[in-house]
Amino acid sequence: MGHLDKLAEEMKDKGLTVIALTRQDRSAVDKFIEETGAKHPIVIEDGDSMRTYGATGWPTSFLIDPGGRIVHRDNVIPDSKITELLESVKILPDIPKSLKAVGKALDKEKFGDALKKVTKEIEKGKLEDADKTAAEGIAAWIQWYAESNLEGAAKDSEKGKHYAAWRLYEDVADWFKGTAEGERAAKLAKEMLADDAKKDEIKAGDKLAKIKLKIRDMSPKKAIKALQPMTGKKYKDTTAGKEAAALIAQLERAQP
Amino acid sequence: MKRMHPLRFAAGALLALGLLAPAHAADLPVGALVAGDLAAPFECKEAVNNDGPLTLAGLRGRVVLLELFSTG
Repeated sequence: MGHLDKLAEEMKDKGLTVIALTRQDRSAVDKFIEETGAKHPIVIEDGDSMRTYGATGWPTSFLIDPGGRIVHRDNVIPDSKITELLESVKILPDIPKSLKAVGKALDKEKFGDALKKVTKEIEKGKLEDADKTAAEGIAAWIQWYAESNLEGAAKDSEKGKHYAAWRLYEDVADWFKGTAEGERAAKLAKEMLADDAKKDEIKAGDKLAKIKLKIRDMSPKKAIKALQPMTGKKYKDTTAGKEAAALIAQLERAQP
Repeated sequence: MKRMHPLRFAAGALLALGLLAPAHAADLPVGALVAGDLAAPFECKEAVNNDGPLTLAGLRGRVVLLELFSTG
């Protein structure tokens, strides 16, 4: 049994899903399965994940937490990292058919709505036992997810990563609209903007994030030009300004 | 939760295992330098060894080990 199959089988019930992603055609994948006996899911993709994930060679693996954040990347992720993550996070239970609307809200990242819907279903008292257990697990997961994001933002802020913290507070405020956690996040994001030093960091971070999105497909030469405003007087002393300067230095080395 | 910089994993782990040719800064696309920490959605044309299509949104709430690979 291959290593990915072993992980997929042993850790499935603990909350791990293993996916191999390729751009190759079906016949190549079938041949691979025939030769290796692989049993884990393989996705043949339409897009170009090598580019969007910033990978530079095969294989490249990503360990993604329940909130969709990449917490580790390597060619092969050590089992200890996977176990460590599985032990530190809460896993969302499977969504039963009776809670389909809750699943849809979760897919759309409307966690506040999902929490309201699932709480309402629990309160109605009409769910079968197994579905009620799942509903309680879903409600607990949503609460955990809100708290873990708020904690993550607070830690970013403590480390001086003010833009990352503010961005996460804004996201939590949006995702958990209508909940106490959503209101708390909105308040904390607003407080950050009221602090002049943090506001400057946030503005610079926001500007760099937009530039990064634009330059993904550019040549190094054009990317350097796009990044240069971040190294001017206005932003050069901010975290984003320093990051832009480091990126420019790397891209200058990458120029032919 | 700190992610390893693309330059570090390219030059370190991959080379250490001898699975790739040496990657120099000159080989790295701009995209590799600015990739974020959020997992990007992928477009599933076909899912093999699985009952239905797989999407990242459908996997929210679980830990995902995603491997980008080529059989060649």
